[in-house]
Amino acid sequence: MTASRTAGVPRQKGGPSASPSQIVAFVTFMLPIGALLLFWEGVVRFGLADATILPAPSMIVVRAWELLNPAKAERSLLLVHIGVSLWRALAAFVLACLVAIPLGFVLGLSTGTYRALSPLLSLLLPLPAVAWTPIFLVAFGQGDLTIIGVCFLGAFFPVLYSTIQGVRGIGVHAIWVVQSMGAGPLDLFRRVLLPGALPALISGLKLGMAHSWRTLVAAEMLAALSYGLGYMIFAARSYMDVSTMFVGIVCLAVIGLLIEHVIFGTLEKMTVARWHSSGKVRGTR
Amino acid sequence: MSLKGFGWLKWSALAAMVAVGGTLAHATTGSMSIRVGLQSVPPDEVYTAKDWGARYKLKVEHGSFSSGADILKAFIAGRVDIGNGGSGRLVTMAAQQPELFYIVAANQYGGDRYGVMVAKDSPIKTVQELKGKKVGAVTGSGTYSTFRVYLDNNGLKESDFQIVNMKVEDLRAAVQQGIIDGAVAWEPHVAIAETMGVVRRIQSMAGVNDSPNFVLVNRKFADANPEAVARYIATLIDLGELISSNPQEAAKLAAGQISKKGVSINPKALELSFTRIKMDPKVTDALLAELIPVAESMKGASKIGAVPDFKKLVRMDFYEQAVKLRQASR
Repeated sequence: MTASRTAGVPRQKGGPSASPSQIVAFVTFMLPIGALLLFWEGVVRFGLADATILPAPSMIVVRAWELLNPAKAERSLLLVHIGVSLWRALAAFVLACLVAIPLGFVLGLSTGTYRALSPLLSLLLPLPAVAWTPIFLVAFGQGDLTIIGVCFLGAFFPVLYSTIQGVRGIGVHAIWVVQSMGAGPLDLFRRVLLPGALPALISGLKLGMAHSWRTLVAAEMLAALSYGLGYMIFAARSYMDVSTMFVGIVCLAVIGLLIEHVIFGTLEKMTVARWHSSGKVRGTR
Repeated sequence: MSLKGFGWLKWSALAAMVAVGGTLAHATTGSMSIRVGLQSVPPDEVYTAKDWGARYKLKVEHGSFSSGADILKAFIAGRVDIGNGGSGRLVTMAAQQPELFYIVAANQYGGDRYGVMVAKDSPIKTVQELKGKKVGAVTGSGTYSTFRVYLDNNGLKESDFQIVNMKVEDLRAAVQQGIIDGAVAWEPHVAIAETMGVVRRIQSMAGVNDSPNFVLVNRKFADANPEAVARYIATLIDLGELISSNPQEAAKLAAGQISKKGVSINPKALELSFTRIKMDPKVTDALLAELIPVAESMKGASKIGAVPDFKKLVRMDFYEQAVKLRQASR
């Protein structure tokens, strides 16, 4: 959900500069977070919580700054951890999309294939991706292959199911109409199937990326050899470095939020929101 | 008999001698490599921080693992040539796959690396005073086994306490918050918590037993590369010597290595921790004997069929060779 939606402010077509309503929406979005941080800081400063167990936000910021090492950004450990984690999560996500989206279209269009594979998918869907980690560890050992493999499974099923649902949600009449007008398979895909399935598909992509990101932390804790935010949190826990643990957690939350808002928010604006508002895509049943 | 007319034989013999000599020279002075499984524990951090193999022309490829169990999994799968493990896992391997490995050295050991801690402001001063109270521990760990021996030696029983099974990383916070009244933990966790000023160590397990970890080497690798194994053990002797003689320097190295992961640690905590750990790699009968009660207990619990003959698994010749290598390289 975007900031403007959260604040209940209608979305506006905007230029490069932020409109007043966008600023209000942003402030409204940030207000509870700011209040929580202030309360947290106060609780620690007034001795109501022990800083060795719950460090104050200011301590976490200081630690993050040290790890960020802005004077020598090329040696910034935090950026390396973030970069490695992002690379793993995105690689897993892209691979999941490459497999799940075409498969989702096939299963959505072919009832027979869907019926044949549905029991298998239903069996695998409820399994948390992290549960595969020990198996992958035995098969591939520690390292990127295991982490990306586990994250792939985390992202795969939400993308697949959303694609299937999106395709199945398109009425056959819409397909018939376009076909009767002489559209070939490519036109059918471009003008009916893709736009029709896109709202569900984007929801699936959001869920897939979120699952990939969440799974990543657990997988890195178990299988990372050197870098990654999950590895950093795990290593910090081993040596009771609570501030660094919180830096890792905050990074995970902020990056997760940015991925959803910046990448998927933009994708949504560029596709679904634009097409639906321009009337290119309407009810297809 | 004259060798006249047998010039070809003379030259062949000379060529063979050169070849053999070259091979031997390579074996003793040439570069070689070994794959080692290491954990995120302070002695292994010191090992990773420096190229200990350079002195012996040994390339040590470090594999980093989150636990001893993971190292042994990799060891069994053939992904590392050398690993180390605690007594429980070693006994299981010795009972099930004795043909897979040799015991070539001792790793960290010593009862002092286990301790009982309470909150800084707690009135409790002895383990006796913890009777009837909640004590956190990692049940099933070597630390907990040693604690049980301590209780036996001091006329106490497990049932005198409310034992709470926890992760070692969580014990400090639980003690600090009063969730548990005391905790049994291993180094460096006790030393870190003490250095943070939030706990007191009220009892060391020094003298109870040594609870050694051992270094295991893959048999096939050792048989094919005996020199590499000896050189590796020589590096372990060097490491042990540094940790024992200069814990401050070792702590600096370990803290520097840990900081490369983005983790901040007080070197004083590591220094304190190193003063409590023994690191002499020599496998002694006394250390081996500590495996017997562990094996008997596991046999009693039907986890293994018979108590393995550990002495048959030990290869001291690598250690002896390592000692010679160190002397030769001085």
